[in-house]
Amino acid sequence: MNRRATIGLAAVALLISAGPPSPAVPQTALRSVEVDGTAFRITLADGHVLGQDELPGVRLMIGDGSGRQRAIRIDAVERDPRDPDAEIMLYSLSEQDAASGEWRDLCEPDPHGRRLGFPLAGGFTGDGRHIEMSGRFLITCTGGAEGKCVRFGYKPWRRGPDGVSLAPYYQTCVRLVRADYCGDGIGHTRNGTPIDLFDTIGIQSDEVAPGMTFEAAWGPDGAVCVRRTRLKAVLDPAALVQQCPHLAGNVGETCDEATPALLFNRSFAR
Amino acid sequence: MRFTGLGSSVLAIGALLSVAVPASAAVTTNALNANGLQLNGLMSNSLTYNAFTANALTSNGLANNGLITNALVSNSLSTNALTNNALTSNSITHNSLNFNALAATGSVLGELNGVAVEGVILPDQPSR
Repeated sequence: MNRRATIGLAAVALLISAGPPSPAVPQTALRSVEVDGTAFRITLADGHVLGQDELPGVRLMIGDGSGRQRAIRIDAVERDPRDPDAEIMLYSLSEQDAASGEWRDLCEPDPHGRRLGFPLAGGFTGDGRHIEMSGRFLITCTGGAEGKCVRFGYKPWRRGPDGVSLAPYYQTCVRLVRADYCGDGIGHTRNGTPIDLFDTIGIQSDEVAPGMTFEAAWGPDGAVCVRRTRLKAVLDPAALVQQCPHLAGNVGETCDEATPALLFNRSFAR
Repeated sequence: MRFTGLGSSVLAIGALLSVAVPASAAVTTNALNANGLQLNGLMSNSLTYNAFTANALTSNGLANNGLITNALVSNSLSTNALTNNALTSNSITHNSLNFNALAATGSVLGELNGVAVEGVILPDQPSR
């Protein structure tokens, strides 16, 4: 997974204005807009790259190519204080309502009450695969699985301590957080359910999680094996095998931390 | 000597200061009873100040040391506060912040998935 995605270079136009978007505002050439890790990099025609502290107030007209655009405004920028590499940028974002013209928070509050989000190169398919998409990106909020997994340290543009790409770990993490056992993009958990995840490459260590028991081992395509489902009321083991036939024979007590997998997790048995 | 026609104290003082009385009768009856023993010796010095200063020991000692300091502050409050707060707060904080996670059922991507920037509007920057 590339660290950078140059976004819609040919189509991008730059407007400089203190007011709302207007066709009357003169347009200036823009060299590029990139997503670098989780940061927007805006390069003007004269080569000047806007610093992160220059981004508040910038409005991005975002589209999917269908002609419909959404106006997203960067209201504030901060570095993720939990990121040991200090490279994850977090943005307060708002979106302009097309009808009323009002600006509203783009993100719902995360578990810590913060409304933050960031871009990430590529996109997700309907079955939950994170793929490269030339010149395209996604915006995830810190309360979503896609954002959480980056902040856990599984930066898809990075390599792990052993030199392997973290992209598969990121993919696996998103499956894990969403309890997407089958790897089909369907989650089987509830927002706010506590989990403890860990790996064997030193990004998330295996620490004591009082009261939690082993749940499953995970790979990029979903669960490798499942000792028990996270929330029995949402998905019981019988239904799990029915929905994920490839897990037959891999559900039950034989599933443990010794199973070859990228990530593992514990949760409260409920 | 007659005692019944006047108040006893006046008569006693007068007798001491100005009347020469027979030694045996005057000393025995007036001087000892009314002036010397009651006002100076017993009430002011010995009993009132010294003895009741010791009352402070009764009030201070029991109220401050026994009840307030030891029983209420140290034992009751410390024990209750730690038990309830520590368990509840720590387990949730630890899980979400440090090494655990809170599950999310899905993304909040909505339509902001696989999109591109088609225009940029900068805030007013006269220098540029």
